[in-house]
Amino acid sequence: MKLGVMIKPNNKGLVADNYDGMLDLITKVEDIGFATVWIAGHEISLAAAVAEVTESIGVGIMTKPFLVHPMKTAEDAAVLDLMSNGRLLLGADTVATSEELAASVVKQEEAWPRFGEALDIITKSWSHDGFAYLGDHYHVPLRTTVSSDDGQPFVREPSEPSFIQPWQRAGMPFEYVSLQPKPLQIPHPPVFVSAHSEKVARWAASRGHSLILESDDAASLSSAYWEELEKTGRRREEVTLAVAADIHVTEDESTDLTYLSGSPDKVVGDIRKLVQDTGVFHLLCRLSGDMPTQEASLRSLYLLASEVRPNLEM
Amino acid sequence: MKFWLGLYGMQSPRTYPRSLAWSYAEVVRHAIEAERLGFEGIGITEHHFWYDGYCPSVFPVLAAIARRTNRIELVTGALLPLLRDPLQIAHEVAVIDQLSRGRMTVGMGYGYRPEEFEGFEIEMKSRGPRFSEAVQVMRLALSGSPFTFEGKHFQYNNACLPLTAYKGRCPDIWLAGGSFTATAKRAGRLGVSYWVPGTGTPLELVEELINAYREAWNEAGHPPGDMRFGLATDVAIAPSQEEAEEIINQDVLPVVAEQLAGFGFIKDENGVPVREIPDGHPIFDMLRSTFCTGTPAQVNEAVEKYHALGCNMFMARIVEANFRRDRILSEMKLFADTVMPHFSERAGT
Repeated sequence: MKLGVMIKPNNKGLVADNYDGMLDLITKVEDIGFATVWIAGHEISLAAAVAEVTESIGVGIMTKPFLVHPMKTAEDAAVLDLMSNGRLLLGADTVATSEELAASVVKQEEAWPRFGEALDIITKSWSHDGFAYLGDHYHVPLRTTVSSDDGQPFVREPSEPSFIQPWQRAGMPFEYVSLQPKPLQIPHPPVFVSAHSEKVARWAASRGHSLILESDDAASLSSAYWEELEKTGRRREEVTLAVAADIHVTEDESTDLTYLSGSPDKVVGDIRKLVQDTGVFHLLCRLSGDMPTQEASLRSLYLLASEVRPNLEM
Repeated sequence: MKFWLGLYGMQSPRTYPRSLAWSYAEVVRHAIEAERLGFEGIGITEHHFWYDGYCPSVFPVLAAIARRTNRIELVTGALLPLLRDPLQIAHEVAVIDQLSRGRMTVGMGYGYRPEEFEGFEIEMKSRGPRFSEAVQVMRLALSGSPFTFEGKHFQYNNACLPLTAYKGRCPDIWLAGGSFTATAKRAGRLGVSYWVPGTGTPLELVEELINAYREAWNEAGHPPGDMRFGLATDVAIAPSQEEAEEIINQDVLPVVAEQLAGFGFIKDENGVPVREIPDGHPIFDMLRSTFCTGTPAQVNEAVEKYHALGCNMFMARIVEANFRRDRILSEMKLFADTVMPHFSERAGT
């Protein structure tokens, strides 16, 4: 079992102090043996700051790929991967808040169809050179005259006519785009789709992406995910199933009331049940970036790493 | 006159291939050294889809530098706002401004490569008017209150950033680049600061652009005391002129020339792009004439010409893509020791 934290940055009040406190907490989380830390937002710069102050922990970022042009998200992720020495995990969420949609030209009903195309563009652009994408929602590059033989939206630059060096293409029609730089991880950074419905979980499986679920609907969505994964001929080892949950471990047994809360023994039992129900391999503790709660959070994370996790090896 | 160091693009050109991961770590070390030496800002630049890996994403780099430095201004130069939504850019600016406790400076340009616009599915027309609207949107968004904006190109209804800038107001905005008087005038009208791209811009044109900027600033009625302008140009400084020449020939010209050709700036008499520039092409002498290069005395003399035009800022482009780490660090030190004090002592003149 791998452990991670999912932190929602606190953007209210003394933000600079909140960010300092959050980064300080993250270095401690790394020290006590957590495998990943996730920024639960699209603030790529916070992920870069996390990469700068840590050495080995995986750095996750939760993007909403339909709100930003996918080539931009692909670029940002590639730079983050280079800056973190290949530690990036790209999260992709299908749900936007009404504020985010209001600040965007994308309509609610377009969010899902754009999501699939955007994520396909992102992953393809990381691991391929020149390509064009002829989707229903994205047409990259804008003026490409390329057509597709097989009806697929992704079109690779052909090797005939012979290749022209990229620095010698001034003034030529721009038919194929090539993402630069490429990320460090090969074939590309892991993609974690955050799924709130069976449709999304199945789509993630069909693409071989990893999955992040919420603890309350993890059982039903995970079975759909594993089923679809098998259908597409992929192995479970290729992906990671992560579950994000509010987890509180204390030394006080009187708190053994709510799910995933209480003494180490109680939480071990809850997590074993969760593993049985879902096949989860990566547990993400949800945290808020609020300063006053950090000391208690850190104590709980410490107990999780030292008293719970050793009893979860499978 | 204040001095900035720039413009880092983290490139791996064919004439000097290297690890990009190393370059991204290196720029943070250079920023720490620049701060120690007394540079007041460090500039990171962006381009897109260029074969050598030219940095497409400046904010993560500034975030890393923010964590490792305390005083130096974090400058985007030039950020290309027309490739994105200005509200999203304002959001990223606010994050860096908070991470650095108010050290963000936003240098922005129109962008000029059709490939960059087309790769993001954006039309290239109306860049000037769209730039003006983008500046207005960023100012409104970073003022910290919900706002409504009914522009021709951008519209927002009761939008609000999830966080404010560190000092609760929009960080300084510079219009970066633009070798046309119309662009300089736009900067003046908008009331933003303005830097001229010195590389390839003869001194007479620099003066003309600055005059156009001044005139537009004054016509618009902005407070004269708030006006700031400057220059970003290539610097090659060494103990001897021969060593400076070597830096120009080995580190600077190959990449500058390749980019000018690759970006379609160099055309033959029929207007056809020149794709490989032959040795002895006049562009090399033209570029050379605009560099601040040579011994400390010679560089002082060159910088003095811009100081005499009233520049408030000089961005020393010691970093060309073809850099060798040892050379850049020794150039930075030599420049900081022998050029900067000469002008800092006369600050405010």
